[in-house]
Amino acid sequence: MRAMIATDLVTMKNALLQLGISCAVVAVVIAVMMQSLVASLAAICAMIPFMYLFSISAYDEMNGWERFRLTLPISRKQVAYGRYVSTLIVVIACCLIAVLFAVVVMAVMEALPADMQQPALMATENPPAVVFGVCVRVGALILFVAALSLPPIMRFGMTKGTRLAPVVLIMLFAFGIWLTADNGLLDAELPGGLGTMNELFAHANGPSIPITLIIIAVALIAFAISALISAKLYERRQF
Amino acid sequence: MQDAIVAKGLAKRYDGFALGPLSLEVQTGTVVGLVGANGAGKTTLIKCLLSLIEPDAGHLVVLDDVLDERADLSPATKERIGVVLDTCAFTQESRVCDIAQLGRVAYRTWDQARFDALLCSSGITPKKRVKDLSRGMGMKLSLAFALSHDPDLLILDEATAGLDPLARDEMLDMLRTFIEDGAHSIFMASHITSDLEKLADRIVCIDDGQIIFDLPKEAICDEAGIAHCREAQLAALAESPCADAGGLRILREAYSVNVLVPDRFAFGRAFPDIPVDKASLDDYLMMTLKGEVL
Repeated sequence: MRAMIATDLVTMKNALLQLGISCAVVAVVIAVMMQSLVASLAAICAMIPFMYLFSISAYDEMNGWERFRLTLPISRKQVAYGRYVSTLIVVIACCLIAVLFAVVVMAVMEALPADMQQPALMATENPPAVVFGVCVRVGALILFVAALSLPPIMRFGMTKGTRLAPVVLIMLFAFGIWLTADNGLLDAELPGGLGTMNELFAHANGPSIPITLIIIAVALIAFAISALISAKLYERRQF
Repeated sequence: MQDAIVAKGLAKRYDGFALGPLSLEVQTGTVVGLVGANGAGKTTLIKCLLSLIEPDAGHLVVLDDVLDERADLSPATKERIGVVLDTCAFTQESRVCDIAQLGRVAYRTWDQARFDALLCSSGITPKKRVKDLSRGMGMKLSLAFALSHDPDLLILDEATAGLDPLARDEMLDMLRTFIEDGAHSIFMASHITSDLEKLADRIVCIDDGQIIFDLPKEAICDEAGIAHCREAQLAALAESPCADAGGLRILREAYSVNVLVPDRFAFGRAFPDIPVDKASLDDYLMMTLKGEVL
């Protein structure tokens, strides 16, 4: 599996570098223009992994790389699991980069003269719980999107799979909203803080550790189940 | 001698096309060339051998790895196989040094010095991106990658297609070096029959999913011949011992009839007044696939 993970990361090395630079620019622009560190952190955590997920899947289909990769000493299971692990590595790396970005921005703000400081970008308005909460929750959301998108992509390839992935995503989100919305099927059953999907993510602005942990756990379980399904689907795929 | 590849009753069926059932052997230390028209089933056969697709039936052994129960070659077996497909499969944005990095991670037996030497002899620099390589350079990179982990078996699918004669010659030299110790084997599909004439020990022809012939190269390029006779002489030829069990293959031309004879020396003795030329692999293929049976 180490070979597959390295294959993915080496293949995307240049693209990740380019994505990193453009993402850094986007994050700075968002932070300055929107006066929101939280929004720029969310952009860093979401943008690179999301683009990684679909770019690496697109690279698979170019020049028969996916077919050739199966001739390397890697089993089909290792290919499937390796893709999940490389995605997880990118998500975790981006969350760490986002935290680092927050530290740098806050340090720069502290160093500026008082009249140039932007309170919205300073530590007082962005305590560690908020910074970590946003990064982890957005990372978890991306893992959840990957968990839903990867099985059809692994089974049918990027071209066909991306036609199916949005359908799966929309159906599941619609189903989730139907379950949890006001007067939805589970509305009365859920604890107060989880009454709606909106409320679930609204906690990103507050230090709600239990909800963050629940989100991480759900995302990781979904991701693991998705990996098992993808491995099964990929074993039967014909090239 | 041990076989690098043994396929028995191998079959794969698609809508509108069926491969096999066919049987094939590639002995260790030999080069087997696979020829046939477009769509004949060459790539499907190679995909079966590489377990890229799962055969519907048959017994397949690749380097002692029996694939009857499993759909996939084991990573240990794949480690002993070098593969060059019809395009340079590495991602376009990657640099040549990235490809070396892949090789180092993927293969325990990766020989970086050998890879560097092969690239150097091909004029490929490590900083070049795959997208900046010409087709010939890309295929040389693929072959260098395939050779640098010291495989026991090379499987090539149209690896020399689209290359200029000089680039093809360089690739053939690399392949000759690979097989000269007698411990390595090559199974290569190619439309370029002159490459196979230079390199192959056996030629397997496939058409419409079936093996049409599987012969030593000498039987085709040294022994077989093309006789140029008149229409009136055909009946006598058909009854002669020069015709094999399957009959004579003929192609009619404007002023003569070309006849494929399996043994041109015997034919020359039996019919000294009929001119007979040495057959090339192209001639043999043309006569076998397009000729009518007398």
